[in-house]
Amino acid sequence: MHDRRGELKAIVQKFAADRRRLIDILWAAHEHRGFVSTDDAAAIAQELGISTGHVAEVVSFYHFFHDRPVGRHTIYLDTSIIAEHAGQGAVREALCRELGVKVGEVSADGLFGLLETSCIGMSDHAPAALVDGLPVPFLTPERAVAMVAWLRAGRPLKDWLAGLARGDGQNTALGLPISNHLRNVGPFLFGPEENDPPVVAQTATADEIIDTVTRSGLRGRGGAGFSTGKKWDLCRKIPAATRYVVCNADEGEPGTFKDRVLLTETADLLFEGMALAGKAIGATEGFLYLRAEYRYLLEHLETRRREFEARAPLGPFSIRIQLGAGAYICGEESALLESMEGKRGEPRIKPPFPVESGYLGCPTVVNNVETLILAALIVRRGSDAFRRWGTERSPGVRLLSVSGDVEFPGIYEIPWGTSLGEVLDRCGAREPHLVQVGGPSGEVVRADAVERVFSYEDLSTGGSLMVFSRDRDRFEILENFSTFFVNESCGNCAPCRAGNVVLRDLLKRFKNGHARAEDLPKLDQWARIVSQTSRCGLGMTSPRVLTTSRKAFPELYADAIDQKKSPLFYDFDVAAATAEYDRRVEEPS
Amino acid sequence: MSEVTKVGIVVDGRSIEVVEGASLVDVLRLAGIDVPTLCWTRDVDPPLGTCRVCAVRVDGREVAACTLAVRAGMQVECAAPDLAELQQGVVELLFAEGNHFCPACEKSGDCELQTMGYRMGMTHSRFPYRFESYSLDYRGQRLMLERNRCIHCKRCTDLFTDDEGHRVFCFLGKGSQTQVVMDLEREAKLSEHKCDEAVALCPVGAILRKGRGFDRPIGTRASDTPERMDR
Repeated sequence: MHDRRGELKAIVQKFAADRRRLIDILWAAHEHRGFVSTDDAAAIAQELGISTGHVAEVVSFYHFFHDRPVGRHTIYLDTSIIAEHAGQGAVREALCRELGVKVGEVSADGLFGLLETSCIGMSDHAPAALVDGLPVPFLTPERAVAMVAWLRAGRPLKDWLAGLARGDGQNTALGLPISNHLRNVGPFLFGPEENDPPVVAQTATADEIIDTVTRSGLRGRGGAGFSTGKKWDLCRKIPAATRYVVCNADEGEPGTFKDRVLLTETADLLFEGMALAGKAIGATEGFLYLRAEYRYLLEHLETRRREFEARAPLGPFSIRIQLGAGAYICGEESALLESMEGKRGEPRIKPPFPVESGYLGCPTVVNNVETLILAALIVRRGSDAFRRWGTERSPGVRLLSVSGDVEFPGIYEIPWGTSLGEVLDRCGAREPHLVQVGGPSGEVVRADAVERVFSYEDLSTGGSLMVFSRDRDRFEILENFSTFFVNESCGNCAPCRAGNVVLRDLLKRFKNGHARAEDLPKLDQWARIVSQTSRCGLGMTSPRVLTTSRKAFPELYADAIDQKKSPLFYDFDVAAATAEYDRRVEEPS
Repeated sequence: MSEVTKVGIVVDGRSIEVVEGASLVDVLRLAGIDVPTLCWTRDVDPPLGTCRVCAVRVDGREVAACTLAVRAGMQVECAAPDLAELQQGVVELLFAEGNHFCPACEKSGDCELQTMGYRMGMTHSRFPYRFESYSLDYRGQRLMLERNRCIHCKRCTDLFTDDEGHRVFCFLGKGSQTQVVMDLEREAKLSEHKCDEAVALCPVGAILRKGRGFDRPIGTRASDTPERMDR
């Protein structure tokens, strides 16, 4: 009989029985069997000397960990609104029919598990899915069924994906049919590198590095916009024997995929940026926290990492790539650190901030992928080269991931200060009406507000730009965003856990035509309770789905109110009351 | 902390001297301001910071008082009506999320959530009650979990350990699906004293002793009279 116990023991030993490596241990345990049973969790817990509950609660937290079988092949459909608009619904239906399952179930033969997950960073290839960890782009019902047939025949998925190359732009670096869709190259990040000194920073001192980065005015690209130079300076001034650099490559904001492209195209620059940050703060160890959705980049990144470490252009600096396991909240830096320590990704209480007490309690700099790459280029080229672009208060360039109803979805490098209208023109927006700037946690903007500019003072974005045309149902879009937050709330704090459900339901009242005049003020009042009391950025920003959409489209909400409705029984929802009946009637007996 | 340093902060326009680094909740209570709390228990560092009921404003930003250590010059606002609105809003969210039927609850009169509702003058939750059905776990030897009443404060998961120092409760799932589960093997080995400690630690009636209930006569419970309700 297969010795699962021995196998798990060997896995735990491989990670030196270090409980902080629990995410890696669980990945290895999934590798062999696809899930971690209750017995497995108990065995792992025993080997690590922790309680079974600790292992179980980590398994249950992440999308890509399971405590029961999820099929030999696991299909995760992307549920982002971009995927839904591109036809994910038909794909879902076709797969349910073909496999004889509902979403969340495993086919009777145990071959396929059909699951859903939040945005997988493929909005430029929508609708897409992750199948056995690989991205399957531009799904159609026919393509999905063909893929299932291929896998049923026992053939490798990679071979089938290779056959998709025609027209989809095979990516040579990855050997996958996904394109980087670089629509706008330059002026800085993807600019010409010929004139660059190859890593000038070799001779740069910590002071010089921090000085250059500070003078460039570079601000964090994860969304908060904190001065990068200042962050590094704060970190190095905290007395400590050990410090760490962490690159946050957990881009989970729906609609963004720029890190996928940066990790593919410019991994060397990223590692250089990490090593620079290390030199600046006095760290010799760095971590790249890679979102599980980008697991297919791991091999490529490991190769580049080994090359970089061997070259060691900035002196010894070791990097470990830590794979996440599927949780939007881990993009929040302190949740990311918790995850790196082998725990549920629940945000920490701040202060202390990571620069003071981060990974394992040591001062830690956590920077976004784009931030570190820009820092590397800034140190190579000097701060003035960066300041040439952008505006006085928002210097430099930034990347946008553009998706939705546009001719040319993809990556656009723009100088800060570029107007919304210019970007919409350039990406070929089709009758744009609603533009979501910065993802669901960002801002709903009217597409005719063309004069608004991308800058820290106006449209301060984390990089996602989703464009929706006039014929899209705006409430459907907003509900998708709101549901995203319900699904991704970590559950730690009350306002976010309970409040996002309440806000989603309030939005649904408007969407379904059940709202009444007295519901209008609730939009802002309830949103305020959630945003001002939540523990972390997720709950602080999620109510913006309601507040910014109401500000941009006041008539949307006003028109949704049924003025004729009787004041009696207005809470009675016929559709909801009979939903169970409908479901049972439709269910095959 | 070796040396105690006194610093000045301003609370609702009043200057007070406080111990630097102390929890803002402690400081406010010493100053006679009873900021509401649910998850908070004294001397836990870092604080749980999960219920968010202790919303105050510090230097112009809303923040959970329990999560802040005082520093010199802090400008603290507690009395503004919009803060009371936030505090009560969160309590109402908890009432809408769970199924809190106080008259039938063993912990009635000793429940911190119920007391909070009374103190705030709540008659109902402004948010639609979800009436979600939460499962009850009575498989323990002496403890049972009544999840309809759980407010997910994390006191049991983060602060409670058995005599060997192992955690007995943990969080399973995430978001609105999060539920507390109990390690049955460890529960079975808990001492009587530890079982009582778990029940007392729970601010609501979610962790209970099996075969026991309604054993404190009305009039003797923590929040039976207005005088008792005020700490």
